[in-house]
Amino acid sequence: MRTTKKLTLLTLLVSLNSYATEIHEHHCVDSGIEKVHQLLTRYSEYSTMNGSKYSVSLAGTEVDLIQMIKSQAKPITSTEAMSENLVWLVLQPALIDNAKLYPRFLLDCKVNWSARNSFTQKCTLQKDKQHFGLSDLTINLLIQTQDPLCKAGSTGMKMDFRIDGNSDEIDQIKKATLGPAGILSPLISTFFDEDAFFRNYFSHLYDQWTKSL
Amino acid sequence: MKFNPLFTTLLLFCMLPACGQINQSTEHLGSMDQTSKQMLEELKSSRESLAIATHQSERIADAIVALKDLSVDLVKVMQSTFAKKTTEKTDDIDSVIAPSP
Repeated sequence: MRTTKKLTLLTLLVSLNSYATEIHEHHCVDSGIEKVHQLLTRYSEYSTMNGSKYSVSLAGTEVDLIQMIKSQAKPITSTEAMSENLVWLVLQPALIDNAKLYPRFLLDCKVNWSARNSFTQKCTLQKDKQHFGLSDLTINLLIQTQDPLCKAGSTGMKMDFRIDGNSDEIDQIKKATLGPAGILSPLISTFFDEDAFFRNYFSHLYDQWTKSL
Repeated sequence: MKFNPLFTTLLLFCMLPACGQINQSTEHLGSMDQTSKQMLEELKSSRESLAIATHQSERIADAIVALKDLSVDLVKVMQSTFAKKTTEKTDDIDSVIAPSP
């Protein structure tokens, strides 16, 4: 009984400052699998690629809500069949100058291309290294030709994300953004609702990438 | 002048339906008068409603103009607010992956 109470309390405490959201998407692109591989493994170019900036249209004006400002990679291993890279990503939300409040995280990204017609990419957040905004992040991609859901000649991209946002840290970002926003704060506060912050960003990012293929 | 009783009887007999018609016409006229009075009342009421509606539509038109001005101001505020962007220096990957001392 006591254990149950402790577990309940622990669950409650965990749920108070974090949330988890999952994204499951599938896209078919006309590009070949090699081109998709190139795009996904150009880690240092993530911040300059289409989709790195997430904008919304407010009163007919495009407003940049969050933008990836840094993407750096350190190769760990690289063979023909697989590669592993550490990837450092920094995002800047609108109206925040203070770098301490920039969402940032180090990912360990492993690509396995042992099969002829498919490869996987798995990126996991390195919890023991500096991170802000996210408590955990897992990205699982399966890229394959001859995808039963896609027409012949196209490439299928199955994407599964699990995002654990840190509510306390996102709340700090929200306060820092909405303060200078003044009368605009009710308009942009919806972006911070529940799990929308990272879910919208990642969904948009990969959507733009697939469109560029 | 001498009245012929037969002629008088015949005349009265012929006039009876006309009297009935006159009565009906009088009633009809009374009813029409009532209807026209009601229509007049309704017309007055409609005029008042029209005056109110006209006044309200003028106020709505003013509000639309004010709203347009407000949206123009809002866009200006938005553009100036979001134009002010400075980015502070952030850590590089080397310092992030370096083992903690």
